[in-house]
Amino acid sequence: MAQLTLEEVKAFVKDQHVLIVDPSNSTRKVLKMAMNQLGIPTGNIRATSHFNEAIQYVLECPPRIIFTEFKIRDRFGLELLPYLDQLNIGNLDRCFIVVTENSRESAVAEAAEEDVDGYIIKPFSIDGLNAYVLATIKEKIRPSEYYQQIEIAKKLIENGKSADAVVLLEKVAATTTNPALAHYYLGMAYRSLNQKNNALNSFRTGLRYQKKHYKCLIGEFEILDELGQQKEAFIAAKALATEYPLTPNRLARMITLAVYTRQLDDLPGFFELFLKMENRTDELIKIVSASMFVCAKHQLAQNNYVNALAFFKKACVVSPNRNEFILKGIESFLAVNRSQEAIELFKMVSIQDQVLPLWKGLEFRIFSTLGSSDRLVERGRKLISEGIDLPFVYIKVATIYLEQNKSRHAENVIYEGIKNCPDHREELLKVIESKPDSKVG
Amino acid sequence: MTTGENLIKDDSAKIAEISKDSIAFELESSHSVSLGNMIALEITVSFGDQRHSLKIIGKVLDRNSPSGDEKDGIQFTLKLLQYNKDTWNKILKVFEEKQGEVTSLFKQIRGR
Repeated sequence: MAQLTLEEVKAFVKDQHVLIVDPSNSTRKVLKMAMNQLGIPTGNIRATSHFNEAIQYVLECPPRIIFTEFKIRDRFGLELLPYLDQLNIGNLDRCFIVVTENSRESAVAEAAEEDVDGYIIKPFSIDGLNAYVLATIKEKIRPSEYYQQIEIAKKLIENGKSADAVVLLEKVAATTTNPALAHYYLGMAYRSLNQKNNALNSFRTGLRYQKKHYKCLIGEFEILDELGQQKEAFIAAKALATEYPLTPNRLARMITLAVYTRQLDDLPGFFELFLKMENRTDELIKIVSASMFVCAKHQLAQNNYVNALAFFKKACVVSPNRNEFILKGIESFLAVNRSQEAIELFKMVSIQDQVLPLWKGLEFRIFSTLGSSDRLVERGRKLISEGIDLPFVYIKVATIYLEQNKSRHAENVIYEGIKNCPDHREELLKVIESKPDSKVG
Repeated sequence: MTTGENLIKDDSAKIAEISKDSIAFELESSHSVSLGNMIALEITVSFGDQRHSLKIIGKVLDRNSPSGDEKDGIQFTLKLLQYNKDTWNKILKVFEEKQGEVTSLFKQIRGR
């Protein structure tokens, strides 16, 4: 294809705006200079380090070229794309380029899945950047016939005319020797028509032309998942993961499928992928912590206590509801009389939280499995005097007194327990009623 | 980085732009660097199993705070005067190769 002419570039950028979104002053300055070199006047270039301001600029003055860092404080540059979609700006009428320090593969994958036109790593040279921009503009100005038809088909699907898209894409697929992309969109058209088996066939046809076609691999995985073929979906997802980096949403789904299909041995590997991810969505965090909990319970069931503890710790560290997982982990270990592991988990409770009644009571329960009776009574009485009214504390202290033949002490503790925990009266009374020489007053 | 006799280590340095004979970088504080100063700079770049270190002496051609407030950071552009051109070219090549890898992965996933 012939070189882009200056006139073509000028025509593309004439009277058009550029938006630069980057927290770095230097980058904004350098990108402005680069755009000036392409003939775009400074007055047509807007630059900001604030995401909300960027949205405003997009809506007020839709830019033809957007440069954005991958992450802008707590927002992601890719989040600007839906605002462009809202304005119905076609893919061929704009360039969206990520310019970033983030060279992680998962970030590249996220960008490439969206309608992003380029991904440039910092630092860059102005000449290198402009060459990249010109190559992107060329794709817009002189798209291949094949790509133009694909864009038309995409628009048909977006506008609810998927049946027409199917007709068009079948024709387009016949015009090229490698129609993998056409088959991907054919699959998407069938999917939107709820013809899932046709969709699956289309994605698989695309993969016959290009074995590792990313979009077709994604399509195959997602449609198998939608068809409820979880095992096959998981196998497809693993094949995808061996070739390409995963986006956060995809990793979350893979982990969920691994749990559903009991492929628990794969979960540690997914945890490592999670650790390398830049963008850890709330959903992903929730799923990862839950999956680590599942692994922990599985190891516990097999009496692998060291592994169980390691997985419980991972669940606790990842989860924003850390205390909830610590509590569940401790309860799980206490249920199988593993006090040492319960203590290890208890150490993860913050110093501030350890003084709260819930955790003090739990600490007592842990020590009741290993402490000496006298020390336990002392601990128990201390909790009671602090107003921490937990039935099992009263029960345990009273039980120890009875074992030491101190019936009167046991009764006093139980009556105090009944006074402070009236809802547990029956349970508390059983402790002293069970002893032959105890009297119930 | 040295200015005059002062050795300054600044891990906040971010390279914004590079070319055959200049480098623009951003620092969080000025370190008393002024326009026209001569600076000695040491850069280390790692990529895969490649690692290149280079000492450069350059002249500050441009010094500004793009936001208008120096507290937000200062950008310096250095004209490279004394440096090992072979090593600098290797460093430029490292950045190019990295970009090449990223572009290749990006295009493969985009699948056009």
